[in-house]
Amino acid sequence: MKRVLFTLVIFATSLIADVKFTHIFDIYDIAKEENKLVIIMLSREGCPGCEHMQDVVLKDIGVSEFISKNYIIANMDVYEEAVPEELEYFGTPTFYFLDAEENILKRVNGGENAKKFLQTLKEVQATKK
Amino acid sequence: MKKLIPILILGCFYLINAASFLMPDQAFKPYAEVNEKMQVEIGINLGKDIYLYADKVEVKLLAPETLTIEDVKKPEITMYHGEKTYFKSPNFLVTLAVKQKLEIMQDVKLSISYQGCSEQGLCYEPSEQEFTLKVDTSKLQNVADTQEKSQQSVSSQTQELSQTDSIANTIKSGSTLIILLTFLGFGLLLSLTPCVFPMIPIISGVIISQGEGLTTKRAFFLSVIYVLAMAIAYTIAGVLAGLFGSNLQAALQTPWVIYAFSGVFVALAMSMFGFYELKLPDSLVTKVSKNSNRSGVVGVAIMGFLSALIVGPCVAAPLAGALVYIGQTGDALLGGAALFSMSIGMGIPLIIVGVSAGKFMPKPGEWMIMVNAIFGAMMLGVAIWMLEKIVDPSIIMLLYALLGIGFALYLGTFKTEGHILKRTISMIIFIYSVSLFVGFLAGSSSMVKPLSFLQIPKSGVSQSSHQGLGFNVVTSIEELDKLLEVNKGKKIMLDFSAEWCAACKELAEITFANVNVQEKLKEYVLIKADVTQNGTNEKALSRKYGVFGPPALIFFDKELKVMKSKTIVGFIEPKSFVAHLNSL
Repeated sequence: MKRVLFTLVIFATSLIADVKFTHIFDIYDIAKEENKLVIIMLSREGCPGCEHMQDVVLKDIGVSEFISKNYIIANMDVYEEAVPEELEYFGTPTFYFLDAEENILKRVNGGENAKKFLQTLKEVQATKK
Repeated sequence: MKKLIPILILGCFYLINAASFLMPDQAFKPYAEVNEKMQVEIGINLGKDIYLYADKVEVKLLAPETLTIEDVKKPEITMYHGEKTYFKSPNFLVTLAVKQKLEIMQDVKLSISYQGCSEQGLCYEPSEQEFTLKVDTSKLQNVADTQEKSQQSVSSQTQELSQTDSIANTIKSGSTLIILLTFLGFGLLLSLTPCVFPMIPIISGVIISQGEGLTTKRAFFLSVIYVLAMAIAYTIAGVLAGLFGSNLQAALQTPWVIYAFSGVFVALAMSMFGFYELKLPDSLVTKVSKNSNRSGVVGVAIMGFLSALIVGPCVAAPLAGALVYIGQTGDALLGGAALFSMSIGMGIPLIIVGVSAGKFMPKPGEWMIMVNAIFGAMMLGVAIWMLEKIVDPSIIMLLYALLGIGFALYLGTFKTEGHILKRTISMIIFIYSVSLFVGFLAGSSSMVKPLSFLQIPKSGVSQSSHQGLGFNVVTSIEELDKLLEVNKGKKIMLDFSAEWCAACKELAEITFANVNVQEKLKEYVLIKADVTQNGTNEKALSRKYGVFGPPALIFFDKELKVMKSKTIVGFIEPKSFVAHLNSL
């Protein structure tokens, strides 16, 4: 019984939407394969805005469902990883929305609340050919 | 979870109107200005909802090196999200101090670095701003330059040699009483040098000229008058230095003055070795001596005063130390008192001589020549020590070596006669000096460990992992660009590598060690981008070439363009690598 409960709990938590981050190396290949757009989140350890986005906004059911349906998302720590030159940022978090051909569609500086972020996600998605 | 709670609470109002964020130049507006006390007020005006990380804000003094930051008054810190932050635009009050005085109006270059966030959910990248301000350094305080001195690698031996230095240090650190006592001691020591000898005949003359029936009391009284008058002369010199010589220390920093002073010390040393005698013109000395039989308190006082001038050049070295100090503090009272105390110390033996009416005169002999020689060597040492600030360390070492060898030979290292102690000491000096000389020849510049080059170097340091392949190592874009420019038109391979990267090691030890690969790579200019440190420069380098992590091999064409399709990321087998090189 305990085991069943445990599995259920695991199952339930996995249902609570959680965006799955993909490694930056593969992101464009997967996006091409799955015909999705790409989000690159530039963040840094200890930045309140980044934590809020990761822990609250990206865990929002509406946001996470929309992302897993339409986007491949990668997170880069600007202090730990070498951010590609064309992805400029003056702060963290910065979100880049790109297509599978690495063209930048939109750049968002800083965090947004779940409602606004979802709106952005939809707007970018709408520009997709 | 702990981290989550404040974020959740915050989330209620957080990001509600996160429409647009301020650009960095609007969020942070750094400023700096000089107030009437010549303090620098430097700070950052913050935009709306912007706060700074307190420990990321740093004020640095970039130039000139003659100034230092004495104190920074920091604004109040607010705790926010468990971080120390500044919520109100912080203002730092920077108090500068003078290490070495050169010019009065100085261009002071300061920088403030900072990093902060917007409460609306954006953290800005660290930034730095430089300011150049005009500061009137005459309104700034001096600092003890002890830090600066400790930074210089002065060996214990040179410190002992530098009379000027140790005297200046004593007065700076001690309280007034200790200062005066120390100076008394210095004076006593000085009186044991040959410097005082010219005074002995004069004071004897003064006392004896009083004729017979001179009581000990009167002899003592006259001697004291004589010594006091002498002391006054030195005191005046001290006070004058305090009043007018405030630039003495600064003057001692300019190269030509250092050369000149150094030369003076060499000249003094030569006189110590008996090449010539340093004294006032004979006519003056005779005049003084003639009058030495003048009776009365005033006559004796005048004699004492003039004697001080006669001995002056001889005590130049310690006197310079005292005067330098007085110049530094600008404290005429303390300086005068210190010099007075010193001359009293010098005078005590004279008083004894006077009272005993020449009965306790030190007898000149071979030991006096020895004392002379020791002082001569010391003064040469001081001359070299003064040059230390402006001359290459290895040259200084050579000079010390020559001085030491010469002095040891003078003492008679290889002579069979002489006291065993003297010969031992001279032998020790000789061996040390010879090792200094050997150290100089080997390119060492450490006075303490001249022979350190004999130590076995740590293993592995010089071992290259790419045996047989010559990689030029770069760590920044500038270095790389230079190398690229030089090698334009050649085949260039750039290898991103780091010590912590296992695949890089495999690449080096398996692929680059392969004979076929090495044969192929001979055609290439090999550059290694070492990103072990992964600092700002290294990151910029990685970013420029889109390298996410080592290893990565990048090939340039003849126009120095990256052949993107030919980039290899990760480990590659020798065979495939040769094939890859063939495809280029």
